[in-house]
Amino acid sequence: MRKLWAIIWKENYLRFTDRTGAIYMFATPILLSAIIGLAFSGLMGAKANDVPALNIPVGIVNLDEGSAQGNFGAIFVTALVPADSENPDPTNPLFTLFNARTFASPDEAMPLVQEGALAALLVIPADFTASLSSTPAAYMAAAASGETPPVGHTGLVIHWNRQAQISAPIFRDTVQAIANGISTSTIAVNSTVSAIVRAIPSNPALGLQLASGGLNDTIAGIARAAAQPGANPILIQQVDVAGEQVGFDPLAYFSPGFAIFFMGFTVTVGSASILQEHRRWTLQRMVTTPTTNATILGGKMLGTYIGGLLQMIVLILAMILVGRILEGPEANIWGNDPVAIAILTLCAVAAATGVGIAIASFAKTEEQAGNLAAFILFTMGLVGGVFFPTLTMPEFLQFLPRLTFHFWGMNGYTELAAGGNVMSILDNAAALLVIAGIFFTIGLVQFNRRLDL
Amino acid sequence: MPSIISVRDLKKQYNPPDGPIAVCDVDLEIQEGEIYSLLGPNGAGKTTTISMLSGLLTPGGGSITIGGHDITTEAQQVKRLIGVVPQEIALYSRLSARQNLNFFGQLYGLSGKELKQAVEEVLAMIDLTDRANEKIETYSGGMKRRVNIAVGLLHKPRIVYMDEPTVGVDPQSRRRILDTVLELKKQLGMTVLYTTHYMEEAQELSDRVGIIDHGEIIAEGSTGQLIQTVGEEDQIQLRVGEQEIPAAIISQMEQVEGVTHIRQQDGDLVVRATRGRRALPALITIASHSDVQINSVTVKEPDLEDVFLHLTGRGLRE
Repeated sequence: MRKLWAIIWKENYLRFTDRTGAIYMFATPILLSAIIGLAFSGLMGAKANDVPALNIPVGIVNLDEGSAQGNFGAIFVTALVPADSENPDPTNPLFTLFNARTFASPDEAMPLVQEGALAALLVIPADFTASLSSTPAAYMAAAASGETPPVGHTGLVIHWNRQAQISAPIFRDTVQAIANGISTSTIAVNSTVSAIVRAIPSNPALGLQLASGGLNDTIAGIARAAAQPGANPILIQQVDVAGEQVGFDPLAYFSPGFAIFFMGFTVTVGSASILQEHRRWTLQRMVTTPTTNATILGGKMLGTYIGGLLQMIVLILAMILVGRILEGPEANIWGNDPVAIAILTLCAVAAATGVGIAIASFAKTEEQAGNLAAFILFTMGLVGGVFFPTLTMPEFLQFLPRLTFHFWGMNGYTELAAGGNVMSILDNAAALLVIAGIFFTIGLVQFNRRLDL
Repeated sequence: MPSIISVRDLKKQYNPPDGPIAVCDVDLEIQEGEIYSLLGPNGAGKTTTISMLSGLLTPGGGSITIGGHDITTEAQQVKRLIGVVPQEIALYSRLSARQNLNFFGQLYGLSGKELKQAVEEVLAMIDLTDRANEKIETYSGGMKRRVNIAVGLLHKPRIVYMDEPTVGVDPQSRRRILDTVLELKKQLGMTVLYTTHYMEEAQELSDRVGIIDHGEIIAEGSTGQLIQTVGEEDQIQLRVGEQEIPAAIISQMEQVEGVTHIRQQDGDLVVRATRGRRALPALITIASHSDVQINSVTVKEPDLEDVFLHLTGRGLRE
């Protein structure tokens, strides 16, 4: 054990006493995050203070009382709010895009919009479903007079925080898309009922069934199945609310991104130091001492891991400070659950170290490892969302970010920044551990093959 | 008395089956307390042999027993007995000498007071106590070499492997290193396996020398024994410049006691004689009586270079 710690100490002493390395490890990510934070917070003259990203905090007040055809307001709730808020389905992009909560009344939610804790609030009126539904009597009357069956009109209200110039419109567009689906269903239902009404003279039993509600299940099924685009009878009204900046902020998005990105380089360079040691013969010298190869490799890997962890801890603390300078003393861009932050950080560094070891194990020289690392880690960072949100990628490429530790790490930290806890980052932590396991195994197998020095 | 290092039919081929054969059927028996030198030109297989004896390379065949332990099955026991001084400066340049020694000392299993004492002892041995806290990158080449040696001696091993420890150092540092090697044997009773391509070093240090070429030990024995294989003739070089030496004078010189052969070559009269220094006055007298002007005289006793030349037809540095 003493030998293991000796190697770990040596690894990190060399790493943290290297001035050039310190610039890459600490100064660069802090500076980049601070610049982006400043730019988006308007202190440097930029107007935008909100960017599209994950977990846009939104609220829904469903006052819809429904009708015989169901409750159309509930469709919005089902589409936007996960049934299990602790473990939302990660494959549903709307659950990733929004962090939606339901409220009993507008009075309860409006203060949160004003405070900036919510980017937008959707209020569904009490007569929403009723307005879109027509009674059988109205259909029969219209059919008898040869007129078009009536289609109801109703409205939805979105209250949005003026500071949320980008994320609130994303919510509005999403609500619009859902509303379009409901409109389509309504028209399909109206057409069906109209056809039934026209058939009543030849089949009076149908009229009795329709009037007694006996066809309601059939009609509801038609509504669900309807998917053709059609006229939109739902008017969405947007109401501006002056208030504080929304809870989501760019610093909370980019800081973890850059921290993970640069930590990835640190641990890869750390893993590649085994090649440098081989060239300089210090590795061979270690092997000639009564120290097992497992201890030597373990010490180097663990040293690299601990180095990455220390870097992340310093960056997290430094960026909390930067966040408070830019956004006020209450700001906490990493969230308020230290246990969750610790778990996620341990997993993120493990995944990055695994990838770093795998990269180094395939390289023959330090230069080759450096080039491979630059290419692979930059690509992973790009795809993983370090430089722009992954939601802007085409849908058929949406699986790609999930292959990177950057995505899962950032996703987890963004969850925590939006108020999440340990339960809400478990899927991210698990994904990171899977990545760590796969790449550690690849790296160790590969290094073991080359242990005949 | 059993050998502390026993090697049988040692083989190593890189990238078999088509790669170069680095070591071929090497046998070694080295006694405890002996300084044994492997002498050979660059690429002869010295470092490969030491690497296999250190557990760095897996032998391609044969067996290695060190202190009664087989290197392939009891590597850790073997590594406790040996100290390795590689040809390269295997040190962390951004650590001080003391930090390097502390680090490797811990890998040798030392700790606490024992480690501290061992570090101070080796620093005193290499005369670097005063500069022990300075980073290795600030040291001269000779100082780095000395620290490189000190690391291999930290745990007072019974056997020390030194792979060309004087390559690239100034004469003063070289002298200091050679003195250190002699001290290891005299004061600490260590067994030293020393590789070099400098025949003077092998000749000065070694109890026995193994001459290695193309991965094979082609001759082995004490310096005296090896020289006997090429005869004990000295070589006298009489610098005569462009003068034409009459055959009669050369014939007269050949009659001097001990002289076996004379030839004129590149402005020299090269005389081979069994007792060169005794024959020299007579040769000079003959030359002066014949008006042959001698500009300089060199008497060279046979050495390992001659042995190597005799065995391989090449010089050690070719």
